[in-house]
Amino acid sequence: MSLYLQRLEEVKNFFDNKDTVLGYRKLMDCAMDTQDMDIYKKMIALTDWKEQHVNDETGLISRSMEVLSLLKTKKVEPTSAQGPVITASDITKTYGRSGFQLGPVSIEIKKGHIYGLVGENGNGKTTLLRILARELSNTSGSLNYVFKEDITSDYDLRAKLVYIPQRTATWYGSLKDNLKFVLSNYGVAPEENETRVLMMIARLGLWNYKQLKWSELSSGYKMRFELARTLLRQPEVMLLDEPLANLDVLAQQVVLEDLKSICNSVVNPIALILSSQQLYEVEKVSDKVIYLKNGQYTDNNAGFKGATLDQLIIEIDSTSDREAIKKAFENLPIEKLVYNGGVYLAYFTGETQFYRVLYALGAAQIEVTYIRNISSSTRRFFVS
Amino acid sequence: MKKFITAKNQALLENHPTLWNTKIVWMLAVSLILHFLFYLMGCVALMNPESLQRYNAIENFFGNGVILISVMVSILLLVLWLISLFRNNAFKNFYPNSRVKLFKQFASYFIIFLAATTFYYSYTLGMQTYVTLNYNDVRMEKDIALTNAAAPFFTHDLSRYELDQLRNPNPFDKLYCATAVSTVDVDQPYFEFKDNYYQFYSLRKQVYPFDKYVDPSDVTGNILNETIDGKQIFYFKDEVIDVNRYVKTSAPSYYNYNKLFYNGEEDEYSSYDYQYRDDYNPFTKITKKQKDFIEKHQAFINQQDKEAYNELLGDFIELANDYSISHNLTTKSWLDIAYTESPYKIKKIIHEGSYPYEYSVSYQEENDFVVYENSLKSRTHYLDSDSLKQSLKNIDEIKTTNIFEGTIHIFLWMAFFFACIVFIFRTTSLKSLLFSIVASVLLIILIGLIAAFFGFVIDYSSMIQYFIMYFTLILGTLILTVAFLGLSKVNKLVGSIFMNIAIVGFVPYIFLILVIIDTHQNDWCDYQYYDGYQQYNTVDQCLTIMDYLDIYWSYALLAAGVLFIFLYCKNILKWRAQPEG
Repeated sequence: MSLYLQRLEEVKNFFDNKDTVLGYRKLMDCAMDTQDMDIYKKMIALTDWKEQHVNDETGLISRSMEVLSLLKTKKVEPTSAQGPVITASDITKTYGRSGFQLGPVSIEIKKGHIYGLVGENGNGKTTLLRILARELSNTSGSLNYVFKEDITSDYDLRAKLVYIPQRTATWYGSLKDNLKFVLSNYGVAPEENETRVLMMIARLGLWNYKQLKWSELSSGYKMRFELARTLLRQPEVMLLDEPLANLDVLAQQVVLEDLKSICNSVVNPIALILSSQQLYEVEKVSDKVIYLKNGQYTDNNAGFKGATLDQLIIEIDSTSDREAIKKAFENLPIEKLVYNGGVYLAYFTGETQFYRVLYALGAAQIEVTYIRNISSSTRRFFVS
Repeated sequence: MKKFITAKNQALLENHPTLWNTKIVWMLAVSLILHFLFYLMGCVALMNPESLQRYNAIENFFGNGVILISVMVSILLLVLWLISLFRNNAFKNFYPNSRVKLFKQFASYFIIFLAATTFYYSYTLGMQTYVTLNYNDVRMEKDIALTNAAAPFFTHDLSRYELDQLRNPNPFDKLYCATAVSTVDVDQPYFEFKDNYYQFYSLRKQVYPFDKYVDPSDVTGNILNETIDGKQIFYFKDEVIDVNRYVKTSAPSYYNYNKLFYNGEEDEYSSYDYQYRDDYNPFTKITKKQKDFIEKHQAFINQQDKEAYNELLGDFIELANDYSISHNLTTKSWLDIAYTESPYKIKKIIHEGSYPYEYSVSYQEENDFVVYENSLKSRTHYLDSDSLKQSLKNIDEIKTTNIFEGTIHIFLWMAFFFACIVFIFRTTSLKSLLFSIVASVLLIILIGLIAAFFGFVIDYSSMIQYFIMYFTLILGTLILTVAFLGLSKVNKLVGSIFMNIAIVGFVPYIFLILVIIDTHQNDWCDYQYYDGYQQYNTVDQCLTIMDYLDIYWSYALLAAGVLFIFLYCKNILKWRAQPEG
C-alpha cells in the first residue's frame, strides 16, 4: 500500500472514531497532495459548509467520506527520497565586540524532517537560523544547498530559503490579496490562484478570519497567516524563528501538529527548522532537537557536560521535602538528587526503569505535582 | 462600478503582480480623468475674451492659481499612491524576481510620476483647443486685416502721423528722415512744423569684411546695420534730397501713417539685428508687407469715401466688442474724428486706454508741438487698442506654441529623480536612503572644501574649474566602481549607500563627462581663434559636443539613465541576496 493510501486509511479511522477535528485536517493534507484543483474546490466548498454547520458532526463525516472516496481514485506519486537540502560543515560565527562565537556546527537538513532548535536566550539560535537562511554570513565553514531545481543566482537561493523571523512584518491591505500576490509572483496560473489560496486558508483554520484586517487578528492567527503565506510558496526548506512565541498552549500544539503534517506531505515534503523555548512541545514533533548553549552545539542523541545517555533522569515537582524523597528512593540505584530551586532532578543508573521510580514514590506516599522522564530530552540540559 | 474595479483588480493581481503592486493601471486611469478635467478647465479658461488681454495668456496656468490646484492634486494623488504601493513588496520578501521585473517597477514609477505631475499640458492643450476652434485661421486673418485697416484711425500717438513717418510713395521708402534740430542743415531743403524739423537724406552703405565681427557702437554715424549671409552692412546718411514736390503738408497727417498695427510674430522682433536710434527716431528698413499696407491705406484715404469709412469703422467697433475691448466710440463719433479731407490732417487724438483722457499738469518743457498735441487730445473718447493687440498676440502664441518644447525636460527629469528615490526606498530601506542622502551631502561639502582650499593655494580660476571637474570625476568613478564590482566586499548597508548614489548619480556623472569634454573643446577653440584683441571668429564657430547634441543631450542622458537602471537591476538583485555581517 502506498504512503498516500496509508494516509487515507488513517483519515478514515479518524472519522470512524469520530475524531473529526484531526481527521478533517488530515483529509485536507491528503487533498492538497493531489494538487488537483477540482478536489481543492470540493474541499473549499466542504469547509464553507462545515463553518456554517458547526454542530452537524454526522453531516460532516458523511461529506468527508464522500471526498475521501474521491481521493482514493486519485493517483499520487510520492517524491523519491532525496539527500539533505542543507549541509552545514563546521560553520562558525564570531561577533567581534561581544566575543560570542557560535559553533562550529555541522548539520544536515533533510526534507520531511523537523528540526527543533532549542537553547536559552542569547545562545545563538537566531544566529544559526539566519546563517542557514543566508541572512547572515558565517565566519568560517561551508554551506551547501541542494534543491529540486538548480539554483540560478544568489537571489534565487534566497527565494528558496524561506525564513520567518520572530517578529513578522505587518500586512497591509486584504489578507487574501496578500496571499494571492505570493502565488502570482510564483507564476501560478490565474485560474488556480484563488483556489489554492482558499485551500491554504481552509487548511490552516483561517476560514472565518480571511475577511479581517491584520490589526484585527490575534498573534496566533497572525502567525498562521504568515505560515499560509510561506506554505503557498511550496518551499523545500522552512526556517522559523520562535513561531510559538505569543501562542497559547493549545495554539502551540495545533500549529506544531499542522507543521508536522504539512512537512510530511507525500508530494512536497519540507525540511523544517524551528527555534523555540517550548521544549516539550518541540521535542514532541521534532525528528531531531538541536541544543545550543553558549554557541556550542549538541543534539538530543548526544551527551552534554556531565550528563550521559546511560542515565535515567527524572524531573519531579513535589511538596514533600528533600529527605522524604531521598528516603523513598533508598532502595533504588540513585546517583544523585539535585534541587535546582524549582524542581528535583533524580539521577539513576542506566538500567533503572521509570516505573520503579513511580512505584517507589507511590509506596512512600510522596505528593507529586509533576513528574517526567527527561533522560532523552534536551530539558536535562536546561534544568541541570 | 465597485464590482468592475474589484474584478479588474483581481485579474491584475492574478495575471500581472508587478502591475497590480505598482497600481499603475489605476494611477493612469485616475490621472487620465484628472488630465481630462484639467483639459476642460483649460477649455473654459479663455471663454471670457478679457482673459486674452492679459500679458502672456499662454502661461495662464501659472497666473490664475491653477498651478496650486495642480500641485495639490499631484501631491495628494502621489501620497495616496505611495501608501498603496508600500503595502506589498515582492522584492523584499524574496519572491521570485528578475532584472526585467525589477526594471518594470522602476518604469512604472517613472510613468506614474510623469502622468501625475503633467496637468499643465492638459490645461494648456485645453486652452489651445478652445482658441484654435474659436479663433480659427480664417477668422483671425479677417480680424487682423480689419484691425490693421482701422488702426491708422485709432489716432493715439501723434508722432505716428508726423512727416518723418512717411515711407510711401517712392522715394520715401529709401530715404532717411533726420528730425533732430542739431543735425538739420538749414542750407538744404527741410520742413518745419511747430518747432519740429524734418530733413530727408539718401543712404550710403558700407560692407565690412567677411571674417571679422564689428561692434556697431564702434562705427560712428551708422543709422542702421544688418547682417546678410554673415556679412555686416552699415548704412550712413549720404546727401539731402529735396522732396518738396511730394509733401502736401508738414503737419501730422493720416497720410504719413506707416505702422502695421499687428504683424504676427514679426511685430515684436525685427528681422534686422540692430536698430539704431537717432534722437529717438527709429529707423528701419521697410518690409514688403508694410509697403503693401501703406499703399492700401493711402489709397483708402485718397478715395475720400465716407461710406467706406463708415463701414470700416463700424466693422471694427463690432470686432472690438467681440474681443471685449474697452472703448466708448460709436461709428458716428469716430467718423467725425477720422474722416478728413486732403491733406488728411489729424483733428483729434483718441486716448489709448480703458478710460477717457484726464488732463494732468506736465512738468516737461512744452514746445509748440506739445501744446499742439495737447490741444488735440479728446477728453471723452478712448479705445484700449493695446489690449486688442495683446489679445491677437496671445491668440497667435497659444495657437502656434509647442507647449512641450523646453518644459517637457523639467517634467521628465523630475519624474526620473522621484522614480529613482522611490525605487531606492523599495529596493533598500529608509535607513539606507537617509544614509545615502547624508553621504551625498558630505561628499558635496568635501568637494567644496577641497576646491576652496585649492583655490586659496592656486589663484587661477580656470584651473579651479578643471580641478573640481576632474576631482568629482575621479570620486564618481570610484563610487561607480564600488557600486559595480565591490558590493560583495563591503558591509551590506555601506554597499547600499554606494548603490543608491550610483542610481541617482550616474546621469550627473555622464553629464560631468560631457561638460569636461565641452569645456576642453571650448578652451581649445578660444586658444585657436584668440588674436590678441579679444576678437573671435564669428563665422567658423567651433562645434562642441554640447552644441552637437543640442537639446537632445537631455534625452540622451535620460535614455542613458534609464538604460543604466535596467542594467544595474542585476546588481541590485545580487546585493539583496547578499548576507549581512
